[in-house]
Amino acid sequence: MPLLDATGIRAGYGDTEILHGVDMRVDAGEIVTIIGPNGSGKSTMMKSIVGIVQASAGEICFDGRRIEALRADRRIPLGLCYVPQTENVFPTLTITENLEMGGFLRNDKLDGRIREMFELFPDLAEKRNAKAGALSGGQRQMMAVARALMLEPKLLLLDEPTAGLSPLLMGTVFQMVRDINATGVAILMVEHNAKKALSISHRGYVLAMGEVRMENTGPELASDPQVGRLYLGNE
Amino acid sequence: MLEFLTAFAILVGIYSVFTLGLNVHWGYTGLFNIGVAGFFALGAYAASLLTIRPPLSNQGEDYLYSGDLANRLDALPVIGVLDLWFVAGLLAAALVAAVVALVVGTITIRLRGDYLAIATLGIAESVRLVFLNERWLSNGSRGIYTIPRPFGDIVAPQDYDRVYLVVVLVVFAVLFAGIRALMHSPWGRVLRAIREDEVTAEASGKHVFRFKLQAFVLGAVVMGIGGALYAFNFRAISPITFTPLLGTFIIWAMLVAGGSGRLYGPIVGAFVVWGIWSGSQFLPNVIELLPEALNVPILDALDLVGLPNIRFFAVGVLVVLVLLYAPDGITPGIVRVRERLAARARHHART
Amino acid sequence: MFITARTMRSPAMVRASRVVQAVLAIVFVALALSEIGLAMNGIFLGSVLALGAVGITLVFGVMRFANIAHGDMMTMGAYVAFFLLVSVLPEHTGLGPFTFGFPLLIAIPVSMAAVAALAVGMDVFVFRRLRLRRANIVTIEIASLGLAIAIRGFIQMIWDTPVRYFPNEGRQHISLPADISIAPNHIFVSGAALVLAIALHLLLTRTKQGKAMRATSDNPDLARASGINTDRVLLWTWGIAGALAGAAGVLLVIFNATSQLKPTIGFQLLVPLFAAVVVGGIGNPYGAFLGAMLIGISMEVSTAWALPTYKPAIAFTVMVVVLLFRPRGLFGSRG
Repeated sequence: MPLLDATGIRAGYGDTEILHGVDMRVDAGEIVTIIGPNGSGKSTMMKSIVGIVQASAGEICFDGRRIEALRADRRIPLGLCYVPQTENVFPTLTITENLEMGGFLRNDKLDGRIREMFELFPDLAEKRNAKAGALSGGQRQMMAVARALMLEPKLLLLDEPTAGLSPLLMGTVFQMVRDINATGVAILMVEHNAKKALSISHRGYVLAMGEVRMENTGPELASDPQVGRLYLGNE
Repeated sequence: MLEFLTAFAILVGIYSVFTLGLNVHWGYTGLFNIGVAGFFALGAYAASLLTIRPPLSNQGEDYLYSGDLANRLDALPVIGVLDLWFVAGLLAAALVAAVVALVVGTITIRLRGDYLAIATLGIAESVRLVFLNERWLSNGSRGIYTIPRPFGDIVAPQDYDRVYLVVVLVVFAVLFAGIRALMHSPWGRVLRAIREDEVTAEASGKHVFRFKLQAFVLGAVVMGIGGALYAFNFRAISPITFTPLLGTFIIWAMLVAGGSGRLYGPIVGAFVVWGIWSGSQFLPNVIELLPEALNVPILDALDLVGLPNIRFFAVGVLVVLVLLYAPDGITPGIVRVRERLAARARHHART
Repeated sequence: MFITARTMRSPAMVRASRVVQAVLAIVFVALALSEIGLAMNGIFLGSVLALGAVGITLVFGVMRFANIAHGDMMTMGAYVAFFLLVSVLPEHTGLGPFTFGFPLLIAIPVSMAAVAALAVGMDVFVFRRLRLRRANIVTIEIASLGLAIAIRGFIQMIWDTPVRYFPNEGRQHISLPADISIAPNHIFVSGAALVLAIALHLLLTRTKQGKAMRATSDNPDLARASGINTDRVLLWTWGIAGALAGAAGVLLVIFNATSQLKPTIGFQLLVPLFAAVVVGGIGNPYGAFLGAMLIGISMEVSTAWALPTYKPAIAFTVMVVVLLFRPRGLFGSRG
């Protein structure tokens, strides 16, 4: 049984429909990447899975439960956490407070989990009392991911985790994605840096005009000439 | 009864003018002005000070300047009969409102909506404080009370209100027709585009700031003229008239109730809200009869000393209810009823 | 807040602007020091303003609109206390050096609770519905204007319009060196405001709900994505803002030498309150507190050379001057 199974998702903003019936699936332990041109509905898909955008039609099953009717703050405790592309930290809160907010729904003491996060991201531990707004781009991305991991999700949704980062930092972020996946967390990410992302992914989807155009394993999509021509900028 | 209705109609007309001005700001341009009272006061004082007689120091009148235009122009042969000083008063009101709006607008129009609101409120309060404190300018809290009436010397006092009603309606009709023409002009279309989507309008090369400033000045001019009409009607003004409640809020209530951005919204809103406002002065009498009629001891026991003030509460609640349940105002509803009646009439005509 | 064309400035202009800002700051400090007694009064007035301004800024932080009904919520707090002092609580005045008696110490928390309930009710019955309809900010703003008039109308309906007084007895001022005299009530007002400000600070930095309020103010979408129930955060914010407004209303009355109140006391403070919020950086509670002090001092010091009735205009002018140089306020805004 897949961890996440979304079928026939339609969603949009106001009167404009952006997704016209998208099917998508993530199995436990997988890394799945969504690629596609700007405006194809990648971010909207992520947001309708977490519930920030309410899908107008379709079914979303997560971990054996129907969740499409739930509010965002009721979906997240089921084990899916989301890292937006931008504005993904609370800038006037300290690093520690950001992590506490990530663990808002945990009832136990947060200290243990926060310590684990600081072990995973030593850079953050050094600045634990600094405001998140003062972090550099790479650290901010770490911060955002650490916040989302606070609830020990089964599925982590990452919206363009490498956007605006230097090539060196991109490598670090992709390594981080693999490390997190190695601990058993499934990952669904949207990436512009498609080739690199697909190379570490088990499977991938190509989204265009609000529909799934292609679905295949990560390496095969990366080497598909049509995908290359259309979406990876290969001539 | 007829006198009451005439006086009522005059005020509906004057408030329609203010609401028309506010419609230019908020309804057509999206400028959130909660300082209507400021332009109202500027217009009223400008028109009054230009036309009143010079101060009498033995009456404790401290204002230094008076145009005395009414007496000076009336003394002229032929033209004197036309009472042109009235028109001059309206123009002075428009001019002063325009100048202040231009200065204020240049500083504040760039501000985001809620900042503009704070700025306009602050300006309206500052204007009121100046008129309240600067006795040399405005006679302070005593206000100005010898404002002449147009055609006052040729019409018998008991008929006067009807004449003034015609004057108000003519001024309103001119302003209404002018604004309607403007809103249908290319200029009006740009304004609507800005209201709908400022970024796109800016991107398509329109100088958004300049259009907004022009609309701000235009609306202020209309409000200023309304202030002049108000002054000539009551023949006395004082800073108490220009408090945020009576000078601003009730006009907002009219626009919201009538439906902003609609051509006829201001008239419908002014009629309904002023109707409720004037009618609600009788409300306490009705409520006081209720306990006995229904044998409800609660109201008696409560002994609401301020019951006559229930109208303030009622108008505030009315605005909130309209926003909640009829966000487009009541005008669309009236249009629907009229269409349905017309359809029924056609139906009857056929059968 | 200004469009980009205005924020793009040449280095020379930035330097010139810094010089002017420094000069203005020096002038402000010099004026305050030259009228130290008035400046002290300004701090007392600022304490009352702070409680109101912090509430406005907290609500702005999570809802992005400036609540026009806030002044009248303060008035409501004052009248609830008036009702308690006159009709419910035992008659007592002259507690210690103060003009009021111990019943006021009971009236303050009750007023806070009453206005908090009013504020929560406003959100549930009006603002939440408008939010769900995705009404634009100005519609919400006009609704708050409607509520302002309704609240004041309610007060006028029950207590009518004449000036009323808290039970009080005349008290000597405390004399300090340099011809400064302080009304004991003013010390109480500032002390109470400080206690409430510290309580708020602890709430915002030490409690889960308080941190969630700051998080929601920072980034509502991310707060929702973290599992924070932002609707509940909004209710908390309204409740806290309402409680502070209730306290501010009562303190405003005893701040006044004659302990008088009338239905317009709160609304009249709206311009200074907004000025404090904007000067402090809209959405920033610490900024609002400092902004209130700056506005309070400016208003009181101005009475050395301007008519006291001009105080709101002075507050407004200070706000405009600050905005000209610092469009986001002195301490940074989140708007």
